[in-house]
Amino acid sequence: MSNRSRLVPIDFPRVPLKNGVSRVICQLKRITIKFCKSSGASYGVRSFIEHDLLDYSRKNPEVAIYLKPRRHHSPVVVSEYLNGEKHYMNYHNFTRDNVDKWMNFHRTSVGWPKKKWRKLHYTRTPSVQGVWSPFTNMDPRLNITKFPDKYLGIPLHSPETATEKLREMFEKQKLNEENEEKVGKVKIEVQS
Amino acid sequence: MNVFLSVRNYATELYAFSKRLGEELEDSLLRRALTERSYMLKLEEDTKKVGIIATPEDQEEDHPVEDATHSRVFKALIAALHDSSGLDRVALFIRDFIITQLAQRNVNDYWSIENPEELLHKICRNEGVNEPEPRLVGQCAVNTLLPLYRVAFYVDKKMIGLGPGETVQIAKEMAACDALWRLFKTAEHQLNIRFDTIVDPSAVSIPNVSANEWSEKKVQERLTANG
Repeated sequence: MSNRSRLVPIDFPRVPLKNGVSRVICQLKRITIKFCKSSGASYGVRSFIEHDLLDYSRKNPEVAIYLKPRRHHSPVVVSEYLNGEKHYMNYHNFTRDNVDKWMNFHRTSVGWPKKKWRKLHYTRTPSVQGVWSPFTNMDPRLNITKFPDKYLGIPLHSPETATEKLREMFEKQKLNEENEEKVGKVKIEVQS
Repeated sequence: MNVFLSVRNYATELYAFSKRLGEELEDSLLRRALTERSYMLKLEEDTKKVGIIATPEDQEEDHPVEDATHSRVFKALIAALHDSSGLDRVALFIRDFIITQLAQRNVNDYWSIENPEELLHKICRNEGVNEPEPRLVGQCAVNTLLPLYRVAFYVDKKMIGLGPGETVQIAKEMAACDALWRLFKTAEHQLNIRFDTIVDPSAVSIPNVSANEWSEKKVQERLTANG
């Protein structure tokens, strides 16, 4: 199945409203934990509330935390973000450690809906030297040349002609003959 | 947002809000800043009918909120910050939340110069240098649907601006704009706004030089005067 058929939007990761240029603002504004006071599925969430939640709220005073006991329901965490997004997550049978990690995940999220990242980095200036134009790296000689020009008009890559090929073969043959003569002389000298 | 399904604590939300901004805001001032006048008038009218006195808590959200309302509330918030933390914090707040929106943007997009050639000549006269001279420095695909010309402005054989265009006139205007941006130091490679500058808001500020009276000397004078 392709991503298009899953209806997942494709995008680059972006920062909302220049967040972090000078001040960093936590994008999570509100988190609601719904849990059961007696069922085993909520055990991890209950122990997180008992041991870690006060620390969590002290460390992150910018997040409004709500607790909602719901009898015989699966534990659910609703995280609301500054861009208006609202994410639901089921915490059924999560351990205390797991709950702690996921709560941290919500805190550090930006709150986009689920997306496929085209790339993990994004820039507005992909080229440092600028966009190519016909004048980029142009030979300044061309400014004063009058066309048609005799030398600039020569094709850059012309195939080898038959005459040139023959001439080359002839030169090669000549060289070989010279070499053989030299080798013959050396042999004679060695013998004498 | 359905008001009946979500139970919220107004005090908690306000506390979280001021912590989110990283500011120490007085609770009563913040409440006043976030209570819209139109909402109070409506509340007064409604309670008159029933005959009770209501407090401006648990505000219902009317969507969509108008832009004018947003801007009024934002200004009220800045006033509340001024009353609770002082002018220095306000200066930092404006720098961090408004000025930073200029990051990664081209300032020249917000100010299109009308008649740039005339302005360039005027500035050169003010500065006391020779008249800038436009020259066609390049052309490409001239007799086609998509021609490209390149014009540069020269002062004493030195190039001060370079611009492309689909006609010579447009290229000339672009070149004049480029020359002006290089003079004003707002060309794309010169844009470097420091977002960690600390400005003293109580110091007497001198207004910027108008484009018609612009000169390097006047800008330097203002820079030294503002520290």
